[in-house]
Amino acid sequence: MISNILKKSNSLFLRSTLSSNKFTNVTILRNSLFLNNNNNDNNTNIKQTYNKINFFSTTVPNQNEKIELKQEQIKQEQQQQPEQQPEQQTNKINNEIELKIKILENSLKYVNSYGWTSEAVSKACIEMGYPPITQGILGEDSAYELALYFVTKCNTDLMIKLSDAENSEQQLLSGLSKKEKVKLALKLRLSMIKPFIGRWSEAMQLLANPKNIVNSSPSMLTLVDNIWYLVGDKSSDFDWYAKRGLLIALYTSAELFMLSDTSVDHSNTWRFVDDRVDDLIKTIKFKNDIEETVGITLNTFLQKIKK
Amino acid sequence: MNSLIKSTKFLKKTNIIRSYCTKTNNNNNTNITKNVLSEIEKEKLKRQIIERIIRVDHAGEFGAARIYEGQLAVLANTKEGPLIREMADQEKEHQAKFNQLIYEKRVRPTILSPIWNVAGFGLGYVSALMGKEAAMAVTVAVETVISDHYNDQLRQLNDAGIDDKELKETIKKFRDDELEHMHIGIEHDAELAPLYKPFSELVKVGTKTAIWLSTRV
Repeated sequence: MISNILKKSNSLFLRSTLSSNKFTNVTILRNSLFLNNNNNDNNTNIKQTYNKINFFSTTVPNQNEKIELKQEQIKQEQQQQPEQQPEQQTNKINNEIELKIKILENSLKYVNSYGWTSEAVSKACIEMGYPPITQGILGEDSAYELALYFVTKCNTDLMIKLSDAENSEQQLLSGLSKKEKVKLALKLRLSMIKPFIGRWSEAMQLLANPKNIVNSSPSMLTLVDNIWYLVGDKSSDFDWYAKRGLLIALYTSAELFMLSDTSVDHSNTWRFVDDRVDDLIKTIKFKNDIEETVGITLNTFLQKIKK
Repeated sequence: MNSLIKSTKFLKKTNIIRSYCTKTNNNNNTNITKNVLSEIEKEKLKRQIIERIIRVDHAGEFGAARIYEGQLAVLANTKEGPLIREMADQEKEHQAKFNQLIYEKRVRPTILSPIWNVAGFGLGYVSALMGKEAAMAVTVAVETVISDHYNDQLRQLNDAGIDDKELKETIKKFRDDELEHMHIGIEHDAELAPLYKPFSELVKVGTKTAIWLSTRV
């Protein structure tokens, strides 16, 4: 475990030095300090490892005790591993997943201060009592993982809210038409990014990055599929694709519109959504009318051929 | 009602697990993760099988209904008209069932339905112009392939250990209906169609190609 942490800290260190030229001098200073410490102390392997971790992570001295405690826990876990039973294996996996979710959840609190960056994740790790390099378990790009987690969470929350409203005894949605339900769903989803509206352009950039688009697309497809499903749309031919494609375009344009919307409580965005949904419904009806006309014409043509 | 809420919660957990288990596997190549992930992979495989079955069956019933519509455009006023009408109504009943399953199971329908719309109608129309024997030959060929495919699907469900009784019963009933259509075709001089053997094989190959495409795309 310690060697893995060191490897990840090395990669983080290299990345930070390459990304920011301004801090080159600071890096040189750190190097000299590290060399001095290394010469002076006759540390054991454990303490040397601890110093290295401290050097790369730039932790506050107050964190020293916590780091030592974590190291002891890591050793205990390693000793206990051979004794684990299959059920405990599942628990271990779940614990790791829960740790990731907790880190990401805490990171959201720092997004408005530090943006959708690995720095926000570092702050969350520190607050939870872990060294900042713990974010390595999220993968190479913790900033992207943070944005993806937020989008996935919003999609899930939206589905839960809509399905609860649909099934509640009050029948909150029963009086609404399908069009109104789509509008409501889009507005609910857009209002979920209100807390981060100032930084949302950064998240959109991360999600739309070519190297990330493959992982980001399913969350958008899931969103539009959930919306059409929950408003009760039961089309199963090519309309299925047409409706979802149109809704993706609509939601994306509404999101972009919202970024530059300075009206009170985003009222312009809500009006934008209303108008675009009306256009969408008109487009679908127009398409169906065209299909009917073509069908009638074709039947007439075939009848003439037959005779 | 409650099932929807339960499926929502299941979806929530599934989504979160799917987002991160893979990376865990990449980080720790140990037997511990492999055992847990193999269970998740099995569930994914089952889900994929169900999706493919419903998607291709939905496309197949749609195509079959269109073939009969094409035949009716020519033979509606002949002696075989009412019989073809009856078979067409049965196919539409099948189609409605799979429309419902696509919605309930949250399955993505095939993107090729506009093609099957035109191809099915065209096949039925052209074969009917060649005479009622050719139309019946098409019915026999198509229904034979579809019946075999339904049997393959039942075998697939059993091999994967999927216990979806509603889906199994639906497939069994529809398979029996298709076999009945095949027998009706044979009883009404399908084999008297000109060039019956090569014509029949040609239609079968086309049907199998359509099935293969609709399963995946």
